[in-house]
Amino acid sequence: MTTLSGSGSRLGDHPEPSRIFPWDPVSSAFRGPSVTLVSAVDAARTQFALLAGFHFLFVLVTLGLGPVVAIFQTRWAVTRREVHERATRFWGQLYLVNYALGIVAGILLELQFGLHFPGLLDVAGEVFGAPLAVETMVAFFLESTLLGLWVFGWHQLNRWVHTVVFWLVVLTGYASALAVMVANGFLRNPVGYELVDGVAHITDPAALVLNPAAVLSLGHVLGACLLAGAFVVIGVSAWHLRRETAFDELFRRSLRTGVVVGAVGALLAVGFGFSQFSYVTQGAEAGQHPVVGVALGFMILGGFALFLGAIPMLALMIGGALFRLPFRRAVYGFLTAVLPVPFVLAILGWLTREIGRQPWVLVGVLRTSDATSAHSATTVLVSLVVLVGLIATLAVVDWVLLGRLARLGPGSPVLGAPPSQAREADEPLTFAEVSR
Amino acid sequence: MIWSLLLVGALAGWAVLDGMNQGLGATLRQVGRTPGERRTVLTALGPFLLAGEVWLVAAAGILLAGFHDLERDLLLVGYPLVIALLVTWVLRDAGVWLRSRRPGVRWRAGWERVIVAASVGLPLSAGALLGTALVWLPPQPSLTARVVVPVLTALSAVAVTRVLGTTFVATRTSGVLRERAARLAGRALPWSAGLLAASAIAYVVLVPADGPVDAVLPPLVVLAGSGSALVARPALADGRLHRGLAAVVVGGALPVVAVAIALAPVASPASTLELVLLGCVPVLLAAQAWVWWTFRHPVGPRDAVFY
Ligand code: HDD
Ligand code: HEM
Ligand code: HEM
Repeated sequence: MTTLSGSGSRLGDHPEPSRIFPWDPVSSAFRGPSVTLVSAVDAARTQFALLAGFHFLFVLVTLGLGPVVAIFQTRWAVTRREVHERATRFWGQLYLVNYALGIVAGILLELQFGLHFPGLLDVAGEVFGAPLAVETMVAFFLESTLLGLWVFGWHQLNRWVHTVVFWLVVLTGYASALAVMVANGFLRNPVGYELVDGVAHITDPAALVLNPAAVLSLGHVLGACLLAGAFVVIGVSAWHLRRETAFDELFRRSLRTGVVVGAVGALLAVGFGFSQFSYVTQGAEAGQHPVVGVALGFMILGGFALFLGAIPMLALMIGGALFRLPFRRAVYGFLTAVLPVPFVLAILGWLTREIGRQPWVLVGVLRTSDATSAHSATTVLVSLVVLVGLIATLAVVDWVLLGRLARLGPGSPVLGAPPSQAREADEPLTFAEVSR
Repeated sequence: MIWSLLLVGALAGWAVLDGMNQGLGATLRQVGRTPGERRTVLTALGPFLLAGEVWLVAAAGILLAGFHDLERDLLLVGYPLVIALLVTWVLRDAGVWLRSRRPGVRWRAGWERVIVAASVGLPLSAGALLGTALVWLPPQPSLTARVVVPVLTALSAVAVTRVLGTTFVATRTSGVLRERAARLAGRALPWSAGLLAASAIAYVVLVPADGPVDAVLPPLVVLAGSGSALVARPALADGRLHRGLAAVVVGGALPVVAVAIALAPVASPASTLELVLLGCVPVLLAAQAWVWWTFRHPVGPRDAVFY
């Protein structure tokens, strides 16, 4: 493992920290075939991949639905019409219930580097840590703080301030996506650094940020996010329209907004998708895995399908033609059924990118197998089962809840309701009678 | 120096601000005896859940960017504790977010129990990790020290968050909830003072002193516990809640500062980063101040109910 040189006495200097359980209770208790079946490196990579995958499924909706909520809230602030208020609260509630799991999965990801890839921190901690620090300290910090203000300031903030607060939440979310992509782009295509005694130092911050593997990929990822958010809006709206659930106007407007957002997303995803080949093809250092070709093929196919599908959909929005088609119910059913498509494509995209990087964790500099921690395979497997099992369970619970809230419709969302309507019948609030 | 200040600030901020949320969660079913009372307590938590936990997210980012040696070593020795911290943190959040998303009585009671258990487990693992940093980095020769100190710091963290949480609930509610929370706070205060003193004594006895810094550390911790108890108990009894809250907040932050002084980790950051982060700190603090100021009152009919 690489060690830092020329750094005076520091905490990390002591010989080799011993573990809390020096004898590794887990592997000595179950020492058996599992140790030889899966290496610690594989277990660490799988754990990261699964946690990141779950995280990203929620991130897609956070970043994609955010602008939709912000647009409806802005319309509400301008027109003060009830249909816009209801739309804001309905989509905002779905946004929040999704957001909860986005945070929770992000928390599990954040310490993965230190837990399982300490070699990456030894070699590239300074470079790679910088964007992640900006992300956590600035973007997440502001995003979450402001989101709390938005949810709970519903009846207290001036309506323009309240609207601006949500736009800031969306903006800081996009800023954090940029920061993450800068960190991840550095792994894919290391630039703007120099190696001194095996340790990377930043020499050119601008090159680090303007890395095509960060900027072009950010455009591509944001396209994917807008597509995902749009498909959620379109799918849910079509479901309600098909069933004629008494909120026709709201869902027609939503569907229209979703189609426009989705068309923008498809344009971004396809455009930036092809532009990424500018650096992908140079990266001959990274090995080629069969999965990469297949995943990339599906993504390109799906991308074109979405792009081409956007054109008739936009045309059908003119004068609300879609809502008067004789076979509209079939179209509604189809639009609901394809809701998962962008999610599948986005996961295939990350598989392309992350597996395409192998065997390097930092292309051309550090191999994945040299970056993993000294923990035994069994220790890492146990944490994999615990953490992934936890997030998978919570994710399923959350998706079931989201489905339920989506079906319940915009009749009485808890978000933004007066306290007496936000609670259940058997929950009289202790403050409800006294005024401040 | 700047990096150390950032790290200590973020950790101490988390310890007290999220500590209030942890204590609130741990006492949720003691303060709130009916579903409605518990919903009121969760409404009191409302805007502060995210605003509290982001401090630890920020601390982790600072650790990653500025202290990767410390992060690597701490996560290596404390691996199981880190996993426990993550699991309890995630469960606490999931409980708060999901509890009121369905009407069923069992659904809500089930998540409330998750909130209570996770809100005890979270300070337990965080406190143990803090103690582990003290006596495992660098490793102390005596095994007793390596076991006793983390156990005591873990228990202290549970007691301190309990004090913080109940005092916080007392300031954010009214009527019977306020009375109950203040009573629980009064009862928890001697425990937190005693456990902090015990941790400090164990550290003095079991860990060989190493320089003048080590001499300052234990008294600081004892002072944090007893001082805040001496100020907060009468204040709570007289209904001067903000004074009590201030006392327990200072008492909650001091032990973290003391541990940081004892460890004095050396930063190895990227130089350009400092300017960016320092430029942003005022904005971040302003956003936090805005939230804490907006929702400083006891919850009332104008407050949004969500959790
Ligand atoms: C392209 C977008 C994107 C990608 C690739 C990632 N994230 Fe993420 N992350 C977000 C976009 C995002 C977000 C949209 O900004 C989230 C989702 C919900 C939220 O609160 O912010 C978020 C939340 C979130 C949180 C919770 C923050 C909080 O408590 O407010 C953490 C700690 C992380 N992420 C960490 C990571 C790490 C370590 C990643 C690297 C593997 C990562 N995220 C990939
Ligand atoms: C014709 C269309 C598309 C092309 C040519 C394309 C191309 C690519 C390429 C080359 C990569 C790998 C980049 C790397 O390894 O660094 C990639 C990654 C990715 N793709 Fe696509 N893609 C297309 C459509 C889509 C669609 C429709 C989605 C989602 C809805 C999507 C989501 C992703 C994601 C999330 C990644 C990983 C992040 C990244 O590297 O940007 N792609 N895409
Ligand atoms: C959120 C979307 C992401 C997804 C779905 C994703 C997916 C994956 C997958 C599938 C792997 C396993 C590759 C393999 O072992 O063959 C992996 C590994 C990894 N990813 Fe990502 N990733 C995401 C984001 C990121 C980001 C933003 C970073 C860095 C900032 C990152 C850093 C890593 C590292 C360090 C590994 C382990 C080492 C390695 O296998 O190279 N990932 N990820």
